[in-house]
Amino acid sequence: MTINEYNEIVKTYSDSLYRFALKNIKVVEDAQEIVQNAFEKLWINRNNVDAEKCKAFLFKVAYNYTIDIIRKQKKEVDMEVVTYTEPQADNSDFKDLKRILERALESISEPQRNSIVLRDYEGYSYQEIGEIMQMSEAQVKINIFRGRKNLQQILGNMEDYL
Amino acid sequence: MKEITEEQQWLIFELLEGNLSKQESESTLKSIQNNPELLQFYKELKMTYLVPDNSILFNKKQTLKKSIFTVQIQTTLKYAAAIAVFGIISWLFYFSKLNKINPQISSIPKKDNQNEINKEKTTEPSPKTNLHAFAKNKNNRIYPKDNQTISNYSTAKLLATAPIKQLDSPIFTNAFSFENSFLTQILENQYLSDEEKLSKILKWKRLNANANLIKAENIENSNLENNKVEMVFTDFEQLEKDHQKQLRKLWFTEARNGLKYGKIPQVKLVSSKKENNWIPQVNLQLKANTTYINASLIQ
Repeated sequence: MTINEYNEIVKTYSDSLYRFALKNIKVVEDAQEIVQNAFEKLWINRNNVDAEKCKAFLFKVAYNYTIDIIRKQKKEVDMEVVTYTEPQADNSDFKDLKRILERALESISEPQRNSIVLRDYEGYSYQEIGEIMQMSEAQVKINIFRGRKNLQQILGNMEDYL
Repeated sequence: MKEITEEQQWLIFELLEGNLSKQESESTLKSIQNNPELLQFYKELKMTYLVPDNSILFNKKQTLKKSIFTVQIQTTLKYAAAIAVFGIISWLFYFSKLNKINPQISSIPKKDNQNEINKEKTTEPSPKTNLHAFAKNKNNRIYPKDNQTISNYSTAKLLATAPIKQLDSPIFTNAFSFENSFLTQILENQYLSDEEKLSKILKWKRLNANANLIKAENIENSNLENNKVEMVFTDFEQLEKDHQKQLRKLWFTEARNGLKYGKIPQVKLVSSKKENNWIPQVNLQLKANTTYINASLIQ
């Protein structure tokens, strides 16, 4: 991979990679760090990664970093005393479907969310998602199906409030 | 409200995912339109499909991009680091090699008082003196004084000016290169004092002169006067008197040891002149089976 090819890959994929990271990690700085780490890893392995497969490589690296951060955050939350409050419907926050969907996406499990994001945002096949997330094609399909069903149920409930 | 089965949900999911054939899609759509529950589920599931928000952009692209210049710098730094590491390893290797050689050289027996004198000096590298210039200069090994006749010229001087044919002999080239490397090892040994260095150099030169003479006899049509050599040292004037005395004493000790251990057969040691300026002048003469050392020293 030449410098020009690498720079072209940065131009093409950095935005989508950033969106993918941001969907999982709501902190902008963390998402930026994930993107930077992924590209740094690509640069180090530039002689071993085919230009055609670099997108999958980047998403795989970003996904792994994302999982690490989520696990770390989860541990930190577990350590704290969390007071649970019943979610209140706030009409001003859910004025449009997009925002409802964004909020609903946060509430589903991480494998379901990432499978859906990779499928919808990047148009990946089940097989490609499986390679990135290191799971079988069937598992990916089930994750997407269950994830969508969960989203559908949340959206259905929200509609009651609207 | 009629319950939707898992199978129906899965079929609608497959339809939305685009996994069904045209025929299957048409029949599924038909059944959905005829069933309000299925239609409701279909609509809600369709809403779960995300549309990428293209307004979200990664604004640090420039920091990720690489320029040829930065790559060259990185590569250069990498090579520079590799060279530096190689240099350090080579130096350490050379240093450890020197340390292995030096104990052998310094194993020559010394008198107790000499050991005491050198005890402190061996812990720190001794400063360089004109001893280096003296020993490194090949012509300084053995050379005639200006006012001396050709008959008193040293063997080595004559060898140095001899026809190239004679000097081409591997016997001499090997002897010279060995002597140079040997003397360099002594001079560059930072853990030897000047006295120790001089002792070793004198000893070597004396023995080497003898060896050269023996070899000189084997040269065909040699213009050398057999068995005649002169050793003159004039480079110690800047040394202090006490220092000079020690060196002188050391030289005689070495010469006597040479006699004792049979290195120089049948040598007569003669101390001749006494001059105000300490200029050690030693003449070593070999006549047939007899060797004479004439030492002109002492203030």
